[in-house]
Amino acid sequence: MTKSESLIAALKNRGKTPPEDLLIAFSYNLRDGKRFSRTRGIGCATHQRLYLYDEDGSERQIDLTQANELRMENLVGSYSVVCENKDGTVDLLFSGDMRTHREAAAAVGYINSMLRAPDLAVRRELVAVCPKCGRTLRREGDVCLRCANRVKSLRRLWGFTRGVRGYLAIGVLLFFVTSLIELLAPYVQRVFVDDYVRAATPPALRPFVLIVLTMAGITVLSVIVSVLRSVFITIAGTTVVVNLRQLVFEKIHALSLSGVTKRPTGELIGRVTQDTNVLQQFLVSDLTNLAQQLILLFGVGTIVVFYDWKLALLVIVPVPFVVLFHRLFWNTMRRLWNKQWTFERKSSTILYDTYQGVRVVKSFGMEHREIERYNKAVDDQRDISMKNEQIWAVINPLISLFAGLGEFFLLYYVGQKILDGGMTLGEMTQFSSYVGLLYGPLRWMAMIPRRLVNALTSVVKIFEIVDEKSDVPASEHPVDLPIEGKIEFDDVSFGYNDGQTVLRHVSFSVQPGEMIGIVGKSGAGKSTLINLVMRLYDAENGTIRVDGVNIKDISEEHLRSQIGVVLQETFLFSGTIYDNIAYAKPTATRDEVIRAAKAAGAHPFILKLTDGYNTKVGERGHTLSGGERQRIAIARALLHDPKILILDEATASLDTETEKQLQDALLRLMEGRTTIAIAHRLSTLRNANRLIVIDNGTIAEQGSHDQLMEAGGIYHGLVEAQRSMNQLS
Amino acid sequence: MKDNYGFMQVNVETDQGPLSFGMRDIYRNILKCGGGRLFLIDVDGNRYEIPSVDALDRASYKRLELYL
Repeated sequence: MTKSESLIAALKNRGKTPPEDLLIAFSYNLRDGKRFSRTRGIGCATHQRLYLYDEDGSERQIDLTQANELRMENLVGSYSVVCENKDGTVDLLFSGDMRTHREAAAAVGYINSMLRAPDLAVRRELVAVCPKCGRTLRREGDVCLRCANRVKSLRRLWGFTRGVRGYLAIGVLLFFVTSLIELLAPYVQRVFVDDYVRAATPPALRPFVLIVLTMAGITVLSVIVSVLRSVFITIAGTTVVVNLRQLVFEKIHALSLSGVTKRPTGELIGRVTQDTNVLQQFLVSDLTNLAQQLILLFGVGTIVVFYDWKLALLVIVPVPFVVLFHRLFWNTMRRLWNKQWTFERKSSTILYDTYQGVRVVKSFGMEHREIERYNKAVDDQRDISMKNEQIWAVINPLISLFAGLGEFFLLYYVGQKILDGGMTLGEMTQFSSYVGLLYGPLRWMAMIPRRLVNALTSVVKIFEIVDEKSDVPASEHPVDLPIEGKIEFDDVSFGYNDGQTVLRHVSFSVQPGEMIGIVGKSGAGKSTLINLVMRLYDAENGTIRVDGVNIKDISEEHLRSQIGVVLQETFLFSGTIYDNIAYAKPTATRDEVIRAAKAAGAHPFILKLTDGYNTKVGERGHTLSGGERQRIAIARALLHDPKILILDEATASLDTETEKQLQDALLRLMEGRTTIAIAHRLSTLRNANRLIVIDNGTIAEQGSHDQLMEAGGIYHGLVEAQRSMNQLS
Repeated sequence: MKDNYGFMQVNVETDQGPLSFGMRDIYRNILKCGGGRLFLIDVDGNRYEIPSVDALDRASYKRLELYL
């Protein structure tokens, strides 16, 4: 049942009749003071009205024809939706907490689109719901982490074994061989003991040597086989994991920027490394061991039962207790170790932090405090690990004792039999060997369920990334024409998160070769505008066109090849300066790179460095100053030679001389290209053909520098403020 | 608190009655505000306040202790 259907049914249960022509349905949990409402309020919208059925039974109707826009206010752990009417009044419609946040945001978005284009509004689902458990999914087609079909994922994993199935088969075969050998060994032992060691008459030398050789041979053979087996299985397992890793890495890059940024960096890296590691460990060791243990279990089990079922019973009985005890024991230890791990993490974080921020520590003279903090953390860690070690020291031997208890019973029973003459020593040796073989698999069985589930969870997480569809999908038939550089924004509205709009109804156009400066207060939406031009995010409302073609219809590759960026924070990859400049065009000749560096004004300072162009620059280009990094970024953009240039001007205070150099380099860069720049400096502003002032997400003013100064509006104010700042300095 | 392999199901008793919610990434979603005041943040972003950790009964404290 879809969400809408279940909501309509709920309404009917309450004795209400939802409107016939409803378009969407959503729920909210109205909070009255501090109360969580158990039943939800349900809302439906038609073309003209919004119906709200509160939890207490009351009904409200809002006339949407009088409404201008719906707005969602994001509060702490909750939200409110208000309606802005055409007459300027604002009404509070409903509120809720984060459980209904997503659908409420979707409802607000839907209603706003409907208000703008009523003819396009069709009945649809607001949120995707997991068909099994009813929880809201992030997006259509997402896999519900709770109901994820783990078995299906496993089957998909099987698909990855394509190239190595042969190795896998041989490995499995070798397993059987190993197990057979292990089963054989006790038999030979018995023969050895009975017929030779305890023989009534001293045996002949030759057959004796033969038996010893056989025993040795068996051991050697088993070693060889297990080595071979490991080799094959490792090849198979590792290949699968490497394939997976590559695929995950690829997919992470195929994701749009929002897909990457909405997840914490650690999580993505974790998927590629940790989860694949878990999987590798599982495939290579756990799974294979499991197979072996199972075979052993059944093999030995049958032999033992066959031999003497009473004895077998004696052995089996303590088993469930041992397993239970084992499970309990491991659970406790795991919790304790988790705790220890947290404390270890705490102390290493302090360590890491103080080294990173040693400058700050020293300049504020806080060394003592840091030392104290670290000492305390380490003390706590010590206390915990001592406690853990003590517990381990006591419990571990106890476990072994319990496990070994079975053996005492065995000894008693068997010993009796031997004394009675019902069993030979050799038989007993054989039997105890078998029993010994039995306990291994049993202990293993206790651990396997957790390992299995861990591995399966990792598989699901990996496939979650692999399956995720990009937020910024490529169109069916991408157009690949050479770009002139004309950009148009047509009534674009956009927000990074649900229910939040950063840009509202933005429309403007840029002619090829024009230089447009974007100005506005901090947070007005300037960087967002740029992100949209670069198509790092897709605007849901309105269209962006490049050369008359919808930006969504241009192949991403092509678009990116024609757009160049110089941003505020210059990110330089770990590599040489040369590599960084040539990043966008790896096939560039040395001449081209140097020419670009010269035009950017970077050449002189690069030459001053000991290694010149081969100087290694680390993450963030550590060893270079801000101005130097910027110039490398400009060189990079120059080499890229884009038709459209995006500049996010750094407001970093550089000395006037460097600023002038940078200005000149930027001017050279902008020649002949369509430039959109977030401008802060007066000089850049003056150079712009046109300026766009963004205020609170909308375009407040547009025009050339002189026009806007004359108008005396926001722009005028900003410029005056900057001028007075410059005068002060 | 029941660990569902990475996704933790938390059952609490609040001043509005019993409640059950899911938490992920537990270490990161427990906020300490000084003086024993804690906030638990669930998967959806809802926040649950524990006015004083010391006022919790022993069993509950032990369950929470691991993640503090």
